[in-house]
Amino acid sequence: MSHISVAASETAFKELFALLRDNLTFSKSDSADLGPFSASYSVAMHLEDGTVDLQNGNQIEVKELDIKWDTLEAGIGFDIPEICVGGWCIVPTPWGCAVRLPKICVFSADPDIGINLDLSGIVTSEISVTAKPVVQYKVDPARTPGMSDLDAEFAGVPNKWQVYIDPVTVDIDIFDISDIVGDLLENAVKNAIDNLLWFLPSWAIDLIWAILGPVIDLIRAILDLPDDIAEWFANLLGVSLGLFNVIITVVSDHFAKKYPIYEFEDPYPILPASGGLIPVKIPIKNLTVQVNDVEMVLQADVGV
Amino acid sequence: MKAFINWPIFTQTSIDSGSLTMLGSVLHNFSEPGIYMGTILQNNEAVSTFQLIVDKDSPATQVDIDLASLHQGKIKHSCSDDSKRFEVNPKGYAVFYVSRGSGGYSVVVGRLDENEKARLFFDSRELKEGDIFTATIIRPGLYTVTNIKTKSSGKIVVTYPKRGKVPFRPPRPKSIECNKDSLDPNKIEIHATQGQIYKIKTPSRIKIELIEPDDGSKVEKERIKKKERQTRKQKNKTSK
Repeated sequence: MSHISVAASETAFKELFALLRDNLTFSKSDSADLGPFSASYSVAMHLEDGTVDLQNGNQIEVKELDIKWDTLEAGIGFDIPEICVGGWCIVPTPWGCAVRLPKICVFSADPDIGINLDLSGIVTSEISVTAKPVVQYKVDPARTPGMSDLDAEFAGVPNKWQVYIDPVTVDIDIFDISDIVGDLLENAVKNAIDNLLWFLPSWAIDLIWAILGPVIDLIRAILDLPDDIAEWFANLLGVSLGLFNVIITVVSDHFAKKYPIYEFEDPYPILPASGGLIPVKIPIKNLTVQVNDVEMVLQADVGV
Repeated sequence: MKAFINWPIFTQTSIDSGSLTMLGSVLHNFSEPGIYMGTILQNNEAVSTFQLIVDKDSPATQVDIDLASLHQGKIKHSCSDDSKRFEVNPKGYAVFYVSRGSGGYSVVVGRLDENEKARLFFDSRELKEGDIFTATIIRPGLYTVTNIKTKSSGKIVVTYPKRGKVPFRPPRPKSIECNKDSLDPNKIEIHATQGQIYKIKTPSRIKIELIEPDDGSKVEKERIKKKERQTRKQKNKTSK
């Protein structure tokens, strides 16, 4: 039988989890060349809300953690089609065109444009985690081999017992993107092309737009967009650019390795130093952790 | 990739068969086999030369000769250079065109006859029967077209481009015959970028000039009015 048994109620566990959750912040940028176009993202996020449920069988279920996007910008770069005149047949024959006029193009090459969309206000994302509690013993890397426990405490590098929640499954329901993204994309491309042509007179801009056709059709053709643009964006960010996996890794690492839900020093301080006396500390051994549907229970032995 | 714009496409509003720019080109059929020498002129000054071989065994029914490339040093000044040598079948056409720059080119092509005497076969400043001049007008507006050699003239209306539900593709080029007394037809209405093919039946030099630009203000106003009417109708329907 263990010498010490400490329990945290589910309510207390939720408080501990809230601190752990609020500690997570993350930002990253990345880009990829996806053939006919290039794409990039720049994200910064934190977590909010969510429900925590302790379950029998040593399982913790965290549901509907909201990913709050402090920044979520998606960038797309592509070439608009070259705009040419001429190229028509001058001498047609029953077997085809015998003489064709060379094409003269408005630009020297396919002009490239880049757009940036701020999606932070129109994307809602959730993450759910099933985890089990695990115990780890941490020896601070800054602690030198010759240090006693007292030296380590005075130096601020004591050994610690740490309790982490180790995700078993991470389920991400990311990028429920509002349909408004289609309008955002259309406006961004229109503005980008207008900016590209800013130096031309209005009749020339009208002519080029007439040749290019409706913006949305142009975008669909270049990017090979399906009907559901929001879904395409979700897939682009989540799968093509790998943001799904990045977030899963970040959340898993945060819970399982970076921030313990609870930790305490070993040896554990019973009485602080006072009156010229050194602190009283007891060594903790064989720490274990279990959860059931009402509490988290820590058990340990005392002794060297 | 950074793209540079072909400015002259948008700034040139006159087209001259005897002073070619990107918006005009000239076609000539060299029906006699032989080796021809061509000279490119800019403002009547020789700026480059080329060689044209007309060979009945050649499979080429068309040879494109870019006057700007030949002039602007993209092609070396040596007659032995393959890039200055062109070949075409006697049943085909040499197409003289300008790919970039402000243009202003004309071409003369000749060869030595059996008596070693130089003989001029083609001068783009005076097109002859069988030649073809093509023009593409970009800027909307009203133009005059004049055959300087015969003094016959006509009008061209280039309509303002409309943004439609599908990308605009110009209709097939319009053909105009350049006869002794007239241009037939002498009035045409075309879309911006739609081609014109002038079939030369008599000595000609075709000049097209803008006389009244169309900046589309009327079209734009109509479009805005139409949109406003549609919006009003939709609002009325919703409120009912």
